[in-house]
Amino acid sequence: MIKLTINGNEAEAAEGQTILDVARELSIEIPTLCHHKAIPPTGACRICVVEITAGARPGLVPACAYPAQDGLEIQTDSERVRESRRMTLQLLEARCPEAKVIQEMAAEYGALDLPLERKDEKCIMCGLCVRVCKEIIGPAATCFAGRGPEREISTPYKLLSEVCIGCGACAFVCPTEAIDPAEFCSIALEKIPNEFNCGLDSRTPVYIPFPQAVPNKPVIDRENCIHFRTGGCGACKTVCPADAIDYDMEDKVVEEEVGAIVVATGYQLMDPAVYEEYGYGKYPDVVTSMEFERMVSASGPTGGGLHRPSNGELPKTIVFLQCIGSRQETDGKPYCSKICCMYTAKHTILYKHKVHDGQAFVFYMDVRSGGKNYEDFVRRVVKEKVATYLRGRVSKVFPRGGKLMVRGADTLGGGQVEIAADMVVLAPAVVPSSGVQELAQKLRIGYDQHDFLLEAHPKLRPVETNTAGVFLAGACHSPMDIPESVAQASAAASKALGLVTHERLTREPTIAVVDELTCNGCFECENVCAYKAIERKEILDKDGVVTAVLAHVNEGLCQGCGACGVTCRSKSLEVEGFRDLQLFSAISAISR
Amino acid sequence: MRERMRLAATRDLELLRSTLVAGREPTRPSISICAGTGCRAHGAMDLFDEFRRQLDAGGLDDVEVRATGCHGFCERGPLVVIFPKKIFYHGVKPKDVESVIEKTIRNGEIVESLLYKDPVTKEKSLLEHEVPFYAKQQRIVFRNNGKIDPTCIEDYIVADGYVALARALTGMNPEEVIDAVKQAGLRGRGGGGFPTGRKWEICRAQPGDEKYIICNGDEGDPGAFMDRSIMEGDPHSVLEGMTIGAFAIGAHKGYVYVRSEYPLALANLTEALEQSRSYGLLGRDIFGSGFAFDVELIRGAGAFVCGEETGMIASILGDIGSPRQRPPYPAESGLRGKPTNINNVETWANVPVIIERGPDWFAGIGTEKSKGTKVFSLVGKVKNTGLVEVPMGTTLREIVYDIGGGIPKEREFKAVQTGGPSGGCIPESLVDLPVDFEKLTEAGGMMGSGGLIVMDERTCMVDVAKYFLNFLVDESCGKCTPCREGLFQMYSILSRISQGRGQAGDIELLEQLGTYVRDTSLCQLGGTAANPVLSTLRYFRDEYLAHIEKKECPAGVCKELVTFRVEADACTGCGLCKRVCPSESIAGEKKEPHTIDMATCVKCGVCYEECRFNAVIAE
Amino acid sequence: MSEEKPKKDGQDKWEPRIIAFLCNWCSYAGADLAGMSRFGYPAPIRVIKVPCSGRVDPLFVLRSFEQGADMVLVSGCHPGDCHYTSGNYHARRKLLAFRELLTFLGIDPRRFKISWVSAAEGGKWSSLVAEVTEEARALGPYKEFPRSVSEGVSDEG
Repeated sequence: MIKLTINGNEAEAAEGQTILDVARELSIEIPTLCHHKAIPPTGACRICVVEITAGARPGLVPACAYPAQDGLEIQTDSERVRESRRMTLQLLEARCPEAKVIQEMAAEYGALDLPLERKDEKCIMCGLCVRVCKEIIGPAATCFAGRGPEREISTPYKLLSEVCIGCGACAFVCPTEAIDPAEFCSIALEKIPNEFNCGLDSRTPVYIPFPQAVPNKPVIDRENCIHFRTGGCGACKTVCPADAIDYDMEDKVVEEEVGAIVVATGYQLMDPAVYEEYGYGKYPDVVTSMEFERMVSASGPTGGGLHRPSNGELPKTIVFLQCIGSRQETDGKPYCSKICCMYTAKHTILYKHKVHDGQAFVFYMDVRSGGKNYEDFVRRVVKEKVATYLRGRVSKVFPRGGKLMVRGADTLGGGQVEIAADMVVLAPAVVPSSGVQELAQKLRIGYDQHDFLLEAHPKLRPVETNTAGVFLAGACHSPMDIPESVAQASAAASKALGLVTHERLTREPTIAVVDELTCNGCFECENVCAYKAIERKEILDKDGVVTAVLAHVNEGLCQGCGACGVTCRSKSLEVEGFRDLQLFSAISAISR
Repeated sequence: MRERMRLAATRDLELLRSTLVAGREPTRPSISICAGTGCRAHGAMDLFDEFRRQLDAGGLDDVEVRATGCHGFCERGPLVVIFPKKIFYHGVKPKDVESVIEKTIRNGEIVESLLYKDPVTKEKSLLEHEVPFYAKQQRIVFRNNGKIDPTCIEDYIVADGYVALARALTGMNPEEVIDAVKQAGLRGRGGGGFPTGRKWEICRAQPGDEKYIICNGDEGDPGAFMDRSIMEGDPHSVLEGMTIGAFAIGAHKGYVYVRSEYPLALANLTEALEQSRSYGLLGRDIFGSGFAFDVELIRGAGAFVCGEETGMIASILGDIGSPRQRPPYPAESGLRGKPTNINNVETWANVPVIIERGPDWFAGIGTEKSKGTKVFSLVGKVKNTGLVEVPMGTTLREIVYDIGGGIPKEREFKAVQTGGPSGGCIPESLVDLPVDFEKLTEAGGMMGSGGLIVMDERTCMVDVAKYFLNFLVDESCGKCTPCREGLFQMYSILSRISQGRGQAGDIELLEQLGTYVRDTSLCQLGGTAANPVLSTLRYFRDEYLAHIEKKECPAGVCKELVTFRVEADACTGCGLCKRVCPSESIAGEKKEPHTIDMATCVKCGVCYEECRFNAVIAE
Repeated sequence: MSEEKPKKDGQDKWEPRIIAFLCNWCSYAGADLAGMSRFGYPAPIRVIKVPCSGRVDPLFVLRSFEQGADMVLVSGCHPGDCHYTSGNYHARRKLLAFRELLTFLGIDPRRFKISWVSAAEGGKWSSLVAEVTEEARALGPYKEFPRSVSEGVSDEG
């Protein structure tokens, strides 16, 4: 253990720690600019200087790069330190007048008023971009060019970089937004779209999917993670204080024996780009309801600020289009998506909240507001003039003079209307999540032509499926909103619990039975049984000698399909309740 | 050409020396021609060729002619010294060769016109050590320059070369070598003045088997050429010193970093390395001691900052020469993270002589805290420019006046800049200061690597500060804010002041910035960069004030602030100014007062400098 | 037993007798859904529920014809969707092979239909039945079925 004194207080440090490490552990503030916790320090900017008063040659040293040593006495905020920091800030401000980080730090150290020669740079020469690319990511695409005041950040020979992988780490660490990799990267730069925010902003390869994620722990996207792509970086592992990152972790296949399964795979919105008339995907100001939801969310990509995607301005006129893809006999979904009328009404209220003098229009076919207090809600929206409801469909959305012209029908008012909108929000049809068909086949449950999963009985058994032990809940069954999904979830949970809380298993009596007199042990039935319910039973004589091995049906496993009976050459297997004799009788009865 | 066989033991070296000595005729005349870079530029090699040709043609092929390293008296080159008496001829031209051979070589007579004549006493000096320039010098580092051909290792061996190495490797252990160097009191000659023995001791004490030594031959100070002359003239002294040092520290690989602007030094070192290896003086099992050591020559790439230890290490590895934050210091973690000891060329060149003649002998030279000699490059407004080697403690007055011959053109001595761009100005009032590490630092100067720039009344101190600052701004690596931005701002202020646009508060701002740069920079380039400004402000503040408040340059240098005119009463019409004016701005008839046309005058000041009658006035 | 079949529907017009073996989970449920959804479909179809289309023995088909059916339909889950995983695969293989045999046996293969109707396909069931019934009407009563095969066969047999 190294013992040193900071600001008169004794402190302990481990081998390899710098003065800055020790100070941070003691919650002592020391400003930094060229320091980053994942990159080895360089001591270039000098803003983090502290004063050594004893224990080594007295003077100012950079806390980020000076190792903690036994017997050091350090002052982090003496007059000499403050003077030096102030001067450093003066010089950097004269170099980069627009740099916000300098102005913010300057507030702490007093007015920057020396009559220095002004420059017009953006880069403060902290070197973080060069260091991160060389020491963490690996390619060393950027480098220092030139010397002294002429020094600049560039690529070797100022050519387009052949080695830049477009990871954007340099832009990420730059404290003054001075570097733009697009200027020297020879490959197309793509940000990773943040899936939870509908791609409206980007995320890093190691990320927590969304604020309420359970578990609320980050995950590494292997496809985009630099470490997995190039073997470099590893910054996350370096900085994790819990040492929780293990790049060698592999996906595990977990096999669990369970007594019940609840399928709650939810829904997604249909892609409205197929309806070219609305211009989704063509005009940036045409968004889906989910994108709008994320935009106005305080935890969303804009922190709740509503801006026109095209130019960042506040939208003063916004038009909501209902039934995009729903209730379409041809080229869409024939059903009603149920939730859109209500959420659109909510969106108009949210919009009015943010843009008090904004105007909202809703083009609708019918307003479906059947739930508890739902009708009241919609009435309020209309009565309090939060939005103007226009009954009719929109034929076309097209740009004109910086706005989007929404042309539709107003069937109650009569005639065509054209609204100049700043933003258009589409309410796309609700469809089941992708991959549901494959899952249903695995679980042996039914689904309809829209991929909504089939309940055992539409009226009497809404949360059960035809397969024992598999239950449904939520929008995988049909479009529904939160109260309904919750009700279904409770129901499915009860049903599932009901299964597993009994001591004895109750089952249908229609199982196969072997006639041991006629069975000759060929076991063709064994090949055919999908449930491995055919077992081999040894028949013993009175002396205990095995005289035959015959088929035997396991009552717990057999589901009573009857395939074995048909296969049996000697007709030794019959399904109770569906015996040949019974069926023949039925045939005879009907045929007469 | 004799074949060089490996010297497997000390005995072999002694045998070789005695053989070589036996093959030489000490009484026979031999000719040493100064062939350092300076004299070469004056045609020394033509002289060499002419001598050899005429000697051979005249049947005198047993008279040896050597192209040696720099003799030091650069003002008076080309220099020829005739051995064994060491008759000193200066300013020798090819046309003089015939008479030198005829008179001096054949008949032992003197060519009077080639002797040095003191400009004041008018006395002539015959032998080298009688010349006033050399009289007060004690040439230890330059012991062989002027005597040996640097491309011939045999010359070095005849001059007792490698005796020290043999003794160290076979008769001493590493600790004893370190003790000897400590006892001698040798301090780093590159500028830092750190006790060399102590430095070696620290490096030796580091754990690990892989250690390195480096010879810093970057010599970036403008006007400094001591190390150049050592590397050119006596490369083996450096290599021998390095080998002894490597043995003491426990290193087996050394690097000599030579700036690429020294092609002759690079060539001579390359040759020296090859010859050493042939004799087994580098490589494995040197002198049968079991110690292995070899040296690699690294060429610099034009950056002053690569003279800084960590900058140099980065450059050796092929990286940008940007110094890094310390600790850890190179002695602890240097090249490739291993303990590395870096010393200056002159420091290494002192080592063999310490081992050979003993530490007490060395400690007997110099002052209490600064032992041995120091080589200075004496340049500027001084009559005898060149390389001067004096014992520590010699005063600046002795160097400038007794050795240097004083200020030319009867001008006033104003100041001397010591230590190059990292140093400071010592004013006339302090000229009795002895050259000593501590004393110079106290006065605000610095020993530095040994640059001594003499200045007279016509040197503008603001201009001097600006000149050095410009150099440092250009050479700053740009890594840390104080050096990169601070020096830039200081230069900007000085520019304004020198152009007559200084304003109130500029001096305070310069001092504030200077202190900041000195205290906050990452390396010693920035750490010492403010010295020229701060020291000129300390001793010549009124000159700054004249520039700022009166918009005047008292020395008549700063172009925007000065105009030149001819004082008709003093002008003799000799026409010298008219001849030397580069812009042909001076008109006048012979013996008539001349005039300067202001419209075309470029304010270079050459007329002002050259006029012998002080008829050109600067105002 | 080999009499002329009396007309059951109380009308003078002859209606075909169509026997449909429907698997419980898909086709039977689909038929149920058709009913609930109020899709109408022709009456002549007579449904026998089996647990799985794989339960359907080719003997049932023969017996149906023998007992007087004019058309036999077997319908089960779509391949891949069988409630018992693989039952409908067995049905498909067995019945398709059986259909090849029909010609050999001298049975009109047009009177034997195999289809796949899922529990959600109420509409499909209804149109399927309409189609099959129409075809059965067009084919007319199955007089040619070799009754000699059935001579002396009782339900117990």
